[in-house]
Amino acid sequence: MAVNLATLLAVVGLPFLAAALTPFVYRFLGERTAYYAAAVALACLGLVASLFGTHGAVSVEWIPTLDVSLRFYVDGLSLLIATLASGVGVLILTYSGAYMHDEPGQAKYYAALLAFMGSMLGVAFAADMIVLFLFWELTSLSSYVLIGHYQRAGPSMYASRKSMLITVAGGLFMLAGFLVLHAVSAEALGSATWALFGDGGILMPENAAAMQTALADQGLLVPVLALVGIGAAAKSAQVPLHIWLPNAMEAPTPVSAFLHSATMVKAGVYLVGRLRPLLGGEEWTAAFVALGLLTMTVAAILAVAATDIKELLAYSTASHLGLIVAGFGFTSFYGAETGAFHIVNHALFKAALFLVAGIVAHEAGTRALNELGGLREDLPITAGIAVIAGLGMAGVPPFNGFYSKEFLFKAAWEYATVHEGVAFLVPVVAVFGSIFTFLYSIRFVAMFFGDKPDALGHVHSPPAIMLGPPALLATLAAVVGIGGVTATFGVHLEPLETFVASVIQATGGELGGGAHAVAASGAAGAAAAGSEFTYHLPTSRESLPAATMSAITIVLGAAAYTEYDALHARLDELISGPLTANYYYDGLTDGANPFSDRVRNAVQTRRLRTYATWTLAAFVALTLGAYAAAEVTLALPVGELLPVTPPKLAVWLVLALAGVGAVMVVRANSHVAGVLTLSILGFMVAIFYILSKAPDLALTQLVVETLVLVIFLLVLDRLPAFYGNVTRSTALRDGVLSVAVGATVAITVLLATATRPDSIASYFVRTAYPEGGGSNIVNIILVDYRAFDTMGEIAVVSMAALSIITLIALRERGETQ
Amino acid sequence: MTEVVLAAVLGFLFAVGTFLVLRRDVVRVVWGVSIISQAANVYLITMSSLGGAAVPFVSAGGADAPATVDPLVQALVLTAIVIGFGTTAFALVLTYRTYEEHGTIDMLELADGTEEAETNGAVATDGGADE
Amino acid sequence: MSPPVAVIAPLLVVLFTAILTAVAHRSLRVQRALSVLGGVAYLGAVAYLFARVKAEGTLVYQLADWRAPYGVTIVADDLSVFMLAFGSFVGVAALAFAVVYVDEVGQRVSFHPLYHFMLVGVTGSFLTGDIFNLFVWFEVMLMSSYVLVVFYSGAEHTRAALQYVVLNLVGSALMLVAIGGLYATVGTLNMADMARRLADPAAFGITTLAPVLGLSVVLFVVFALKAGIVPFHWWVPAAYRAAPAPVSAALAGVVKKVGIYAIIRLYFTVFAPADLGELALPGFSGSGPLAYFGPVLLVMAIASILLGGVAAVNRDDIDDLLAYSSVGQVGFIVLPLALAAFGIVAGVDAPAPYGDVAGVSGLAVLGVTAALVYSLNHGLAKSALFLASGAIYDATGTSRLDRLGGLAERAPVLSGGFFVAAIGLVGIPPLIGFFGKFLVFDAAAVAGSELALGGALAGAILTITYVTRAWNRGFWGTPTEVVDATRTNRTQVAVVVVLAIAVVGVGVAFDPVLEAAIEGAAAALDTQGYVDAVNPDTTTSATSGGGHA
Repeated sequence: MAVNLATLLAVVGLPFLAAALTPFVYRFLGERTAYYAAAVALACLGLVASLFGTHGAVSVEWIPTLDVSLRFYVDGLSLLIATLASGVGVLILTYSGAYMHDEPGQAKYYAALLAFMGSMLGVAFAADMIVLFLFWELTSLSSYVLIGHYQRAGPSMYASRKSMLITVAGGLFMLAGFLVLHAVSAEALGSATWALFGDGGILMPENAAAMQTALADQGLLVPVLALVGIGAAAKSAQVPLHIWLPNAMEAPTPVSAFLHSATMVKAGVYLVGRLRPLLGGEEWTAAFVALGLLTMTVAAILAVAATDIKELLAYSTASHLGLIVAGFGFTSFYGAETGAFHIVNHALFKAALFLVAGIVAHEAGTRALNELGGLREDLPITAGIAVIAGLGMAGVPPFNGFYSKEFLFKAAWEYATVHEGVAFLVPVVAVFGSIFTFLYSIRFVAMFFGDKPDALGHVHSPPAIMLGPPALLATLAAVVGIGGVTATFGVHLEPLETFVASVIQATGGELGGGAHAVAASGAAGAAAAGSEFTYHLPTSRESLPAATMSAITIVLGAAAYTEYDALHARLDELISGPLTANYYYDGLTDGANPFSDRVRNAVQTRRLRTYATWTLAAFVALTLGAYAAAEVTLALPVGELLPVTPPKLAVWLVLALAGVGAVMVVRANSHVAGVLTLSILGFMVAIFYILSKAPDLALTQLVVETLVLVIFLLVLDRLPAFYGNVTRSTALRDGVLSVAVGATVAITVLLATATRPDSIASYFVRTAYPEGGGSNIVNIILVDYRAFDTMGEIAVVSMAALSIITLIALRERGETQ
Repeated sequence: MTEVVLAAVLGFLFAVGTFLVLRRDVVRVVWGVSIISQAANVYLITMSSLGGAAVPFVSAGGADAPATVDPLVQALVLTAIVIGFGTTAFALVLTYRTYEEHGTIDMLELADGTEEAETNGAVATDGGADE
Repeated sequence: MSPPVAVIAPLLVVLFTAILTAVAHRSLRVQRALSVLGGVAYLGAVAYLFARVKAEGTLVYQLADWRAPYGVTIVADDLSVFMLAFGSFVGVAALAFAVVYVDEVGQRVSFHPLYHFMLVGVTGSFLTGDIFNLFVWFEVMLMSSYVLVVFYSGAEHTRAALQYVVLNLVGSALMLVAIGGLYATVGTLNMADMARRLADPAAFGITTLAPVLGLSVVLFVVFALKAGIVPFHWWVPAAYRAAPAPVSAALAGVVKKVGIYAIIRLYFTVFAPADLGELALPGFSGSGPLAYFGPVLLVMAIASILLGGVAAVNRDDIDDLLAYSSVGQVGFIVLPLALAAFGIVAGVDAPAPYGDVAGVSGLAVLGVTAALVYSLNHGLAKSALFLASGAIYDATGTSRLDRLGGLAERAPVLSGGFFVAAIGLVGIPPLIGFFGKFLVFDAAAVAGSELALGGALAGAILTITYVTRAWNRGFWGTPTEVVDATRTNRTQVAVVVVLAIAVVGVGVAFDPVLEAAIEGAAAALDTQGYVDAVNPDTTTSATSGGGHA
């Protein structure tokens, strides 16, 4: 069924419109604005729901000159992300109604959340690289505002700046990648396009092959992979760019649950899934499986080292995003299944857990793991939610996370058996990382059990409005889990399986059939044959390796859990200094400040001497360089000096006197002497003008020279005597520069006087009298041909007069500004 | 005609001007700028010999145009001289005001004056304190 | 054929306003009214000229009907009117701000005439078709800016102005040297005539073009000084700090762009056709002036981006930060120009809509377009930021970040304006700043220049660094004592908001802007079209008589 453009415009536009209206709504509704926002989210969810069953691209023009359109595309993947954005949005905004009670800045909070939701829906549906980038950056921006919600708090500001720096900078790399794709599309598809889908879109199945060939031929596959990969990694908190995510927990907990676990951080994995059909291949697998597994493991270890429940969840989020990235990294069908299914599962259990963390923090007043315990008595329902969601996160059967993790193990095992050798590291690392996942998941759930620390006091029950959303999420997670159990007996959760199948299809399913084809592997062949998706408990022989890996994970995890506190302490101790990415981030951002000062102070010395030196030196270098580059021929017409005639001699004499005047200015030992010798120079110039047949100039020069002399003397009368002693080295250095400037000018003079082109000057001689109506050609030029020059000249002189008035009149007003 | 001599003198004037611009004494810096502007004007005039030797002045009925020097360049220099006068006068008054504000005409002391002064003139720091 | 008065209308309107406000200094109310009305009329004249040029193509005004190249020619083409359009908008917005910002005595003494004279200089520079006339308008612009920088005549102001004045006076002398040399070598002052002569030197008795490169470099030094490109940026930080906020806004938003415009106009329109033969300097390849300017511009652009960006990171004063940011941002404007030069020299094409526009390299069209769009972005965003800084100063008595804090709580609208302009600088879509960055990146990608791409990326990250730092320190955090007592001026805030809306609006409705920019770029690169429009008299060579040797 075709996609309805109006619906898409509405679903993306509505949140922005609602965000713009939020300040006004807040004036009337106050804290109940939460329900206004939730209603908007619900409307969006309804619109998204109406898109189920449709497929295809629509567009409306935006910048036709660049061929950038508001292109939208609907398929399984976009519907998945959109459903999460609007569905979790409804729950989060409802939950906020209670959580944000009495908090500051609510209008801003809801406006930013709505704008974020619109941006995320935009990311999901965008089918144009520029439009995708637009919404992508808007999610980063709204995230910046939301992380900085407690804007008076230092940690909030630190965290928001960190997230902005990393995600926006990452976005720029992605943009660069898009630019390369755009350029390549010109060659591959005949005309350059920004479209991902729709007519001529680079991700359309019919175009993918041509794009792949062109990318490979131009050697641009790896650069594109790297650029887009950095963008995705920054957004999805992949190691070592994960560091912004734990700090982002400074945001109110609903924000953490929404942006920093369920949706925004999914944008990166979304991009990976999107581009998988186009870029998938050996390099792809090498890059993303390595990145994903590294992140999964490192972040899981960091989660074990965490002491704060939100910090634990944040690292856990990064870890699970790594799992998804690794899944999409495999070109096999299992890989696609891992990525697609885990997006769903992770959103369900992690959003629930964040909301649980919010309840705990809200009601118990602390988020420190070692201060929490035995909460099940006071918070029984919350405990139930935590158990369902936590075991899902741990990957314990039959909870939902178990199934998607099984797909990862299957993909990893299959990859190892096909590639052999070091490839067996892949399943080993997957299991190793999963052990830590199991550990921290159990530790999180454990705060509901055991003894309640005395310091904790009585913990209130949360309001129903805060309990509802996580309960709903946990229920859904449980349903997914139970669906796997019933599927083992043939009763499938068909709507879910069909939907996940459509997501898998959108991410390319099993890729290629080229060198890395896995079809040869008998075990995988059966599963990879169709695009059907089912999940159930392991029953067949093919499931054995993966099931074994799960079993190892759980057994080793359970064994290690007894030593959790010791492990936690050791890791906490170990992970510090240069071993952490934060060390480098802080080093760079903190170091940037003194570095900035050093550079500034080194460059801007506030001394005119420095400035003039560099300005003139650059002038000399650039000019001489240009003369050299153009290979000018420098003629020294020394022969023309002879014969010496009286007129020549007169000119020489005047020029010589001018030079002597200049020397005397330098050597003048008082200001008055300097000014007087300066006017010798000026008067010599006037005589030179006479000798050059320029009587008007001479006259003007004499008048000006006299006026300047008078002003000089007036001013000097009020200035102290000053003898800036010149040291020998200073004089030498300045002398060298002066000679260089002089030489450059002298060369310029020689070059310019060596040539005599047809000049426009003769025209004035001919027409000045008959057409200009005057005998003095210079005057006619000034008032007629070039009257604009004269106009400007008068303006300058008038301003000089104004300037003097200004400087004198405002002299005492500096203080009053 | 006398290009070599002109080139040498103009180069020399620019060199002297440059040397003065690099001095610590504000007055000398203004002299330097003044010399450089003068030299630029002289330079322009040296471009003017159109081959003729006459003053650019035509009598009635200039059908038979005389071979004058280039009148256009003279017009340009005239403009430049007047503009130069305006800017030099301003520079001088500015020098005086700078001295009034800072109590020094030493570029070095000017530069090392208070760094933390407010923008927009809120804090009128007393430059004299530097001495 | 009557000369199209539309061409000189903006110039005349603003000139008359300057004179009238000078005369009317006795009554501040009358003076202000005249100033603002004049500003509005100026905007109207610019809009009218813009519409005329878009409808009829390049318009030429020959002063007193003297035919080019003899009289001073005023030329309004797609490039000029693009610059003029946003320059006048920013200029008048800053003027409206000044009316409620600059102290009353200052306004009465000279602020209004000086400010309008500055606009005269800017307008004349954008429109003139004559290089000496360009010098004159530069001087008009500079003279007024000298006085406006030192306006409050305090200690910092005089010091900053002194350096600004001395460096620019040296620059003016160098400009005369360059103009004289070009006139002596090429025989004309009219830009179109010069372009024609450079393309066909033999027909005009030009024996050698070799000196032209060096002379054009001398001219370039002057333009770079105006635009504040490293290593000619020295005066920028102190001058921007010293000037009253609306003047800083105009200096950064408009006056700086005159330098950029001059570089585009002279090097891409006028000098580009000169055939200099293969350059004989190691590291340079290709022929023509642009083969020299390409690498030079690239190095200067990246140096500006890095130096300005790094220095801006730890500034304690908003104006100081904005000034260094301007040094960095101008690098982003020059960078695509370097790539455009490379495009022409190497004949690099670019995909639509840049290819086949002016019959020249598509990369050149893309590069110049990028420079124009970035100039527009910087003009709007940076002036909004300077004005916001002025409004903050007016409300709190300081623009130092270490004394500010929590402004977003106490002055939300003003802070919102600052935020929008700041993220415009960062380049968040759909703000115009994004399209500026996007086009710069695109030019780098098309040129295949990793160096340019890397420099732009580094600069963009530095921009995020200093913008977020400034925001966190000044606008978030606990309101300080001075901030708690904040009372913002509504009119000032309104001007900031108008500019912020423009930053967003011009981005959202980017298509017509891009079209105008591409037309501007095409006009800049279409030497023949420019020459044909001005149509300088071709009889010179035939009738020049026995004047030359």
